[in-house]
Amino acid sequence: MRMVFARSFRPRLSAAWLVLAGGLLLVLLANHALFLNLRKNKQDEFALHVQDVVDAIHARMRRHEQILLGAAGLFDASGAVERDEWRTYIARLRLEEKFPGIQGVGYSQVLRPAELAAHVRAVRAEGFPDYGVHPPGRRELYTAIVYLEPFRDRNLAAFGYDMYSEPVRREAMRRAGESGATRISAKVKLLQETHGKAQAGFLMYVPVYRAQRSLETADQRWAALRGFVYSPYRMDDLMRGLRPAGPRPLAFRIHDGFTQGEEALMFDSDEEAREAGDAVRSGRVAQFQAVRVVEAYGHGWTVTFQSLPPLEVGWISRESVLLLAGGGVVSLMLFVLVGFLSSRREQAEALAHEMTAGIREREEELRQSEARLNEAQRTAKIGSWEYEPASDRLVWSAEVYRLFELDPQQFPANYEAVLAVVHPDDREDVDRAYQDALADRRPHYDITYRLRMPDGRIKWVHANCHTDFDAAGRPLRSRGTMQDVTLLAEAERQARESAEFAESILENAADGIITINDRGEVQSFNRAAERIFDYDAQEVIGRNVSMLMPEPHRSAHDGYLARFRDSGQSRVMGRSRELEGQRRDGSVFAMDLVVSQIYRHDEPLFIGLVRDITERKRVEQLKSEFVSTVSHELRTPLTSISGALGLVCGGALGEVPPQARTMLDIAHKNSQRLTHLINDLLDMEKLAAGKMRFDLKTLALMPLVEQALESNKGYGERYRVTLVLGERAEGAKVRVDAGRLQQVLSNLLSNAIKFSPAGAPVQVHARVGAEVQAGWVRVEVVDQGPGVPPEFRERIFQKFSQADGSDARQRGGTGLGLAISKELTERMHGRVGFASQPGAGACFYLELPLATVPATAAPAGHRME
Amino acid sequence: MSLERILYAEDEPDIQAVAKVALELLGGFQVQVCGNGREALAAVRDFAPDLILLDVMMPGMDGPSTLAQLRADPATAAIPVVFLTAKVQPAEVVYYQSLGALDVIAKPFDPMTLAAQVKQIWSAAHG
Repeated sequence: MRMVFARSFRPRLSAAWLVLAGGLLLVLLANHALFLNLRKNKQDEFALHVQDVVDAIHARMRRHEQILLGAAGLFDASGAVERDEWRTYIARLRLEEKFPGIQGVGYSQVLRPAELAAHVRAVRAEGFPDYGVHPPGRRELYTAIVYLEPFRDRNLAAFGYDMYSEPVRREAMRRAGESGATRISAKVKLLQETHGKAQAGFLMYVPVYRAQRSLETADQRWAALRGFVYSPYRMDDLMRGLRPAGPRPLAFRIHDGFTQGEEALMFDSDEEAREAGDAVRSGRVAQFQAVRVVEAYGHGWTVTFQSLPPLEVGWISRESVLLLAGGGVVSLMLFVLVGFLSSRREQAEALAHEMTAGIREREEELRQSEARLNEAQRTAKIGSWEYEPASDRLVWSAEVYRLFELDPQQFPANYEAVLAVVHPDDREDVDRAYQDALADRRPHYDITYRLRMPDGRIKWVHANCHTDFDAAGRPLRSRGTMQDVTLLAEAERQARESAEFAESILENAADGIITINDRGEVQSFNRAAERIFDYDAQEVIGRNVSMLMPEPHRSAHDGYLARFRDSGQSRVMGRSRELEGQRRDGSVFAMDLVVSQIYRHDEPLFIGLVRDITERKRVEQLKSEFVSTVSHELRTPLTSISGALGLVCGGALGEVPPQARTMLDIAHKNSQRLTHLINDLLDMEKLAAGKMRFDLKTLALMPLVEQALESNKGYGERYRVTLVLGERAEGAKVRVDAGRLQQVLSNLLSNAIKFSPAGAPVQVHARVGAEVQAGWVRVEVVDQGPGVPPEFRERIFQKFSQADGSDARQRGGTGLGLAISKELTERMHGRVGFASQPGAGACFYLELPLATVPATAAPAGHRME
Repeated sequence: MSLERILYAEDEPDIQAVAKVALELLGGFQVQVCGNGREALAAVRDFAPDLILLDVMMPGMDGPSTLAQLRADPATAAIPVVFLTAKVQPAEVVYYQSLGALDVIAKPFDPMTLAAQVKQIWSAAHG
């Protein structure tokens, strides 16, 4: 809560502080005013008190004067006043009771020097033997205190005293005497101050004159002067009499005269207060001070007043405490309030500012959003529309006009006009869809239809319609969107056509096409596959393809898939394999399978092309059987022919007549040729069917070459052609089937022999080296025959291509030799080739990859005979 | 032991004739010819050949079957047998040898060298 308060409070240099400052200032000012007021009051009070004191002093003086005047009157009236008269008179005054401070009232007789002695005698005679006018000494004039009531205590000391002898008194007496008025003396030390604390004192003199004398001038008066009625006053006592009830709120001092020196001090109220135990000004500076000069009876006293705390008012007074407190609290409250308000106001302002900024932002956003919407509508070719059925009022957005290719200015935006643009074939549907929606109170529907533009173009439109109905079910308003989906429709159509086309291909392909996913589940199964396996597609789709295989393939298939999944490698991809398939009835048949892979949605899919090769296999089987039958059937009579002829021509059965011999030779030779032909044909057949087995071993090349040379030596001799072994690749090892290599070498050699002129050598070289590809060995058979004519260069290794058939027949040969040699060599991972210039012989060679690298090529020149 | 008598089983009469001539004339052997395996088995006891030449492809009992019978009978088991056949791939040779044949001679054979071939095989086995 405090935190909230603090947060919302957030005082800053703001009105709040100003208010607080102002408030406090006001409070201070108020307090000051109060203070001033109070002070003024106090001051006035002080002044009153001062005046009181002054008045009191004045009053007292006057009363005292009255007493003296009364006493003086006594003398004026009586002429001579006796002591006891005096006493009685004074007693009546009840001085001590009514006039505290007055020491007494006395009469001091003026004595001329001549009268002195008589005076003294007279007084003594009254009963005062010790009476004397003192101080003694010769003076011009003497006064003597003859009467002084109450005549006791301190007053006794004054009896006979000549006040005139004392300058201060004398001054006062003189003035009183000359003026005829009451006069006061300056500060004196009274004679009465015999014991105790000495007080300042003064005396008041009222002159008494002889009667019937003129008193107009000072001198006259002085001359008429009889004496003085006087009173001595002790200042403190006098002032004590002036004390009000209760402690006085001011202190004052009375100084004699107009100075304020210490010696002139006559009264200090502090002393009085101290004695009374009252509060004393202790060195403080008084708030109020006043100086009054009390002039009385020809004498002035300077009374300095100083206020005491009770009469003073501090700046923080009791009232001001209240004011300050109250004012402070109010200020604080105002501060809080203003602070609160201003902070709230600040918050409100900030909020308003934010909101305004926010509003502005949102306006901007709105504007942008609208712009984007329009842009989007334009890009997406979506427009919006509204329609009121009751008033047939139609409102279209710009995009809809664009879509319909109509001018907003010219288009009568009503229902009929819209329908007019709709394609005639769809018009009824569009109309009915809307009317039905209204009738059925359907709030939403959408519809796709065609528009026909004036120039005949077709556009496809997809429209949404939302209709609001009132409580009674009447349509109020419809609104919705329209989108140009021509491209979409076109794309759909094309996609559909493509799909249909692809589907059609799939379904009409002659081979079975099965697709499976990487778990082996069948995804598609075309019609041919249905035919082959005798399943309906729906029976197979979703199930594992291994259901179409017999064991052990069925179990192994998952393994193949798993291996492929894990390793990404396949043994079967893209290669045709012969497998067994299992039909619905469980029968197993031979099938040819080729698998390829595609990806759909990043998932691998396998496409298997399946062909039922039962028929093919049967045919193959038949052919194979035929071939072996033929082979056997052909060979058997040949064996007999060739054998019989061989025996006869070999001379085993004795001499044969020369002509018969020639014929028999011809027959023998041809039967041998037939044999070779059949062998070659069968070889070719085996090679083609892949039925020929190669027993590949790593063997030394040179012994094989030598063996070939040896085998064909006899043949060479028949044509008087020598076979010469030239370069040897000693140590070369190749990986071959020995028999087949012999067959190739024999073929090359026999060709070379066949085509060599009589007497010419056929050279054989085995090379490893610069001309030969690294890692390979080449065996060359070089003849010096006619060479290979250009027209045969391309097809020399093809079946039955013999350069010049007639020539070949003379030389024998089946026309299959090179083709077979090529096949055999390639099966052994080698190559055959030739180099020949017509008329310059030919070099036929075979190249084989080396199983190991030979050490060196042996020197040429080994001749074989 | 010397090679003198050869029992030859071959269903084709002409080949029979040629081979017989080749072997008798050029090899100097005594040759008994049979037309099939059964005849050969029947003739073995009486003829007591040193070597039996068997054609592989014969109707009824073919070469290998005949060989099996020969080997089954202790009296004839030791007589060396050589097959005559068109199938002379090394693997096939091995196969026939595994059946118990000594060797294989290719057909068609050269009658001029047939006898020498047989002698060579005999020498290789016994020499």
